[in-house]
Amino acid sequence: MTAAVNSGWPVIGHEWAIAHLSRSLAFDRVRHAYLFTGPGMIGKTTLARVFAASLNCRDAHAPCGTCRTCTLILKDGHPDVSIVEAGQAGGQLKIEQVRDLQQTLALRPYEARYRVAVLRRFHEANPAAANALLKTLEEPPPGVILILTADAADLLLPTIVSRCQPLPLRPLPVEVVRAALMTRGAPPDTAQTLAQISGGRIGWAIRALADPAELAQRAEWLDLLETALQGTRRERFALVEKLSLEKTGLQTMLDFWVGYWRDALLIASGSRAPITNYDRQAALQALAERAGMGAVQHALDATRRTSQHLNKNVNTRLALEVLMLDYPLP
Amino acid sequence: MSAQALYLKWRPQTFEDVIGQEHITRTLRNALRQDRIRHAYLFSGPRGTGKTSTARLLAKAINCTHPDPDARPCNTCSACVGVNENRFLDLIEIDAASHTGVDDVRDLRDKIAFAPGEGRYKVYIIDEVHRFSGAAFDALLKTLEEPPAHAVFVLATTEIAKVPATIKSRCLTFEFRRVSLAEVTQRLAAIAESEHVSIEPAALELIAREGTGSVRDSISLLDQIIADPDEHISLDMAAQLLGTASGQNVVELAQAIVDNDAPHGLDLINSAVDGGADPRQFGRQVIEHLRQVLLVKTGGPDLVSAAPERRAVIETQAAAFGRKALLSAIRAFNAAVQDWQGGWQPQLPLELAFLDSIKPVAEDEPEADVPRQPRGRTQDDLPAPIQRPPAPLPSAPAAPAETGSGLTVGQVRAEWNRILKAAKARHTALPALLQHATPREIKGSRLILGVENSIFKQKIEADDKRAALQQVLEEVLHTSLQISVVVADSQQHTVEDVLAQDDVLAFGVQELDGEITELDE
Repeated sequence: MTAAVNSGWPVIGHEWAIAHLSRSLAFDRVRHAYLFTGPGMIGKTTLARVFAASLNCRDAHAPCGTCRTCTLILKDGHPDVSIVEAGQAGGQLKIEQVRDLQQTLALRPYEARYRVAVLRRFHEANPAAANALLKTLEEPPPGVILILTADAADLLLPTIVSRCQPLPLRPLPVEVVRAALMTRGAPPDTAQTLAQISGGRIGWAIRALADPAELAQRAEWLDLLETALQGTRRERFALVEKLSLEKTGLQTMLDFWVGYWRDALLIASGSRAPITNYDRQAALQALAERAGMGAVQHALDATRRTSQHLNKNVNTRLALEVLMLDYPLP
Repeated sequence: MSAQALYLKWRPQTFEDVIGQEHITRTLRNALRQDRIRHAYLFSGPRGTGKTSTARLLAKAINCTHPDPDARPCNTCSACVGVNENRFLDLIEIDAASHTGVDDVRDLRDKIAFAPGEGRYKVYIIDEVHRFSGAAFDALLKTLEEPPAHAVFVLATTEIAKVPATIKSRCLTFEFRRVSLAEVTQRLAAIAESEHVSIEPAALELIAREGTGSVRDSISLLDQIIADPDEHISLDMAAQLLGTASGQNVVELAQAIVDNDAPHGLDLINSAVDGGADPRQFGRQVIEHLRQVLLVKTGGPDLVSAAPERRAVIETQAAAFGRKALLSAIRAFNAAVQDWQGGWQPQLPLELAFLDSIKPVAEDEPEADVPRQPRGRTQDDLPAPIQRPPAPLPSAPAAPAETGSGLTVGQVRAEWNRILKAAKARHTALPALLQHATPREIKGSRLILGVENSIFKQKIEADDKRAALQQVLEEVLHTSLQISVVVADSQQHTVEDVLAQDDVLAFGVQELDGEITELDE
């Protein structure tokens, strides 16, 4: 698709989606329900918010970003734009929230042209809540636009997906993230590293830029993995014992480890696909050569499995110990 | 006001417009003609096949004032127009998904006794009826069985299994079918034409395919692609917007599986995903392609309808694939697609499925190929001398050190019982001798057997027995192997044997720096 329409939307990347949305706006073919899908922190909600502003901004080059409507919407303060989400990440969106929303949506917009509802992380909606939205989603009251965001369309009820116009957003190209970080004042090499590591998750990259602790944490986790891989089983168990005391963040740690093993796998297989943990290339190369493809794949599978198990509330220490047994020895 | 979604705009307004459900529309129209309207209908079927639309059509038709029953709904009388404009008083549409409780049903029951306001019948459409609570269903039972003469119920659901049998038995049930690809394509073409959109027929077919037999899904997809009504829509554009990988990518990935080309396959996956293909969708396409290859391979080419050039590709791949490899590839991709965990690298599940499907031939991993047997893992790697080996046991399956024969000692061990059986036919003394031997390792194309005693070594190494054994090995393992026999020192043997037999003990000694101080018989 030609990205001819220059949007000027304050969103990084996703040009094709923006082109599509702004063209729909220009030709007055806006749908009543959209579904933005894609991995976390790639800018789904940002896009939804900006789209809501474009719908309601009266400027010729909507969104102007300066008028009252735009400012309020971009700050989540507009009375006609409701953002509904589960109480906390990983929680549940409840049917009461959907019912409240339906009440609100039944009223005419207070001052804007459209009433917009953004339902964030809709895959966290419990089945009752998701079903309760079905009829509203199919034929919402006039002047209502619903925007759902979710990690993947397959996590939602098929009946929900089929009522929305899905826009599957993808992680951004490394180059785009790097450029975006540079405009935010990051030095070139920091920008490059962050962009590589982020794997196209612009939200994470910006947060890591603002908060060095994020990067330090990642480095600590990867160091830990590398230490463990060098160590004997006894040393590994000692590491795990320390690790299992801190419950929070283990899931993220395993996500980083999965990324690390995937890189090792790519190197071991000889693929030219770009690796994520660019800064650890030497260690990865050595690991891939030493362990071989079979062992790396085994380790990757094991890490993914452990991540799943931890979600199901198993004994943390035991799960991590088993994981360590699955990793190749030095 | 935003433009209406196409699937709403093109909701069928007459029975002819409902596609793919002739078995239902014909029955309903016959009933209308003969004025034999039942008091309760239950429509079930997958999403987007026309349940709600048909329910509204029925509501229109039974209230329509057109003199000719065949022409109903006429879409011109006041009742039809009222329904079309969503303001017909006697059509009560209930969203059972958000009104799930018994109180909602009681409310319905209280009002149903009143005669219709403007039409002949009061029509209650209860959509998504499977979400009713148990109490709500029960509260409906009596009303549903014997409603007032002026009331007609239409229940619609996608999940017929969740509707109680007592409800089902009171209704006339119609099952809606998925709509065929050709019918959907035709419908899309008609819509595109009326909307003055120029679109390539191949793109329409792609959309219909993606819609998997659901008309609403297909029309939504069409709608999604038309952003600018004046633009000509090509197949490439449609594929980009739908996140469909090009057919070429899919075929090439299948070829990479055939060729066991891991780097190329991974590159393909990554470039397809970077190019905008949805990874899970890509996985489904690969399954679909492999399935067609499988069909051609097993059932002959007639089972697959495809364009000639594509058919040629499928036939070539069908010839190149082993059936086992094909099945395991389909299983691997299917498992990945079914149980998708995207995470940070959306393409990861695909990559793993791909590697899994090439593995059986690319690598001989003992763990994957050999049924687990107790001594398998540790013995592989125990060197003969008694000194505690400096190289620890690998936890992961041993890397295939010897590639000469492509066999691992684990495989030989797994087949050992079969070898013993087959040996009997070759040489009567052989099985008894082999009882005292264990396969120790494979060096190149040489199998090294360990025996307890030099007498056995001499006997096995006698020419006739050695030749017989080689034949047996060739027969069972399909590989020709040379034979060497070594005698294990008795003292060495015990410690080694104990360690070999006991995984836990071996682990303790070699990983946790334990020591064996005493051996008890």
